[in-house]
Amino acid sequence: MTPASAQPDLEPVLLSAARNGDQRAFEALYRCHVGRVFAVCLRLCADRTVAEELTQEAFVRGWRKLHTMRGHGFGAWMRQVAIRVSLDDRRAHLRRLARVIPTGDPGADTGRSEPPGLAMDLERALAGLPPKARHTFVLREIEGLTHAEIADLTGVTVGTSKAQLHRARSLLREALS
Amino acid sequence: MNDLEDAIAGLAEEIQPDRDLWPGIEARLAARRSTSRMLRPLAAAALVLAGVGLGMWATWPAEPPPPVAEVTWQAEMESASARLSATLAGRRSELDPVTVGIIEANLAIIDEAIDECARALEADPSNAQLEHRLADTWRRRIDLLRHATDLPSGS
Repeated sequence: MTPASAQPDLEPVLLSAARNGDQRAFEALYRCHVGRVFAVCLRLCADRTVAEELTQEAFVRGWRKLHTMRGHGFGAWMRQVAIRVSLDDRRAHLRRLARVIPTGDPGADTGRSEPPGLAMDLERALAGLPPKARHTFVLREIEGLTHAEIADLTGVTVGTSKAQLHRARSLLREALS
Repeated sequence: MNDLEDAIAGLAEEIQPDRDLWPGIEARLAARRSTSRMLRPLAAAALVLAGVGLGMWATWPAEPPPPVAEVTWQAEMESASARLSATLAGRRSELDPVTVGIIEANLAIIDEAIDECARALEADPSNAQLEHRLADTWRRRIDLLRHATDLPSGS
């Protein structure tokens, strides 16, 4: 289901019901947006199992913080929650470090449909980037955050964020060539 | 546009997880609700117990209060308490068993304090302090029952 096209008139109703404690409404929101949230988590952590845990944590945190949501669509807000969860989760970070990432293919063993050609190559190459470069690339080029926002989220300076992006792009170009 | 830009533009907006993650999320939300439900009555019970303790501490060494009028306050307390207990018994199946257990445990503690006061008063019937303490403990029993009967279903 594509979030933007999934009965857009229904989302405010579901959101209002979920804010009033209706868990079924929240489940409906989850079903509409899980694909985008999982994609963010997976691209940031480069590990499907960890990404599943992060996605679950993001929705649990989303349910708890729903009353604080202001001025976003639910999908955009949930992706922000997912980014924070992915960057904050120390345990997931330690598990990522313990795993062998470079040959990581986010979807090689699943049998599900994959984006063809270059896009899949990019997913593979992304999974092989050093974590900081990968985070910066995903947040800037895929999620559209500014360098100031990335710097704030990752605890680095704007200059470092720009340098990480440059490094990521160079490594990805090399991997795709 | 070079290969990298093409690849970025071609990335899928969504990637579906291999399994349904909702059951795990639902279980965690249920665990949070359950914890919250357990803590709420515990907090209420702690307040009641603290109140009973404070009441005993505050009244025990104080100057003797004015004599309590010989009214049938105890009969009234017992009657009110019995009515509320009956209401609570009727709603028992609507409440979380954990909550019911906590309420009953606290009622048992209060009843023990009532019995203790009543025995002391039998030994010293003219002791106005004891009589006040007994009345106060009865009031706390009724307050706890009122709180319990007001709990929403599923609490």
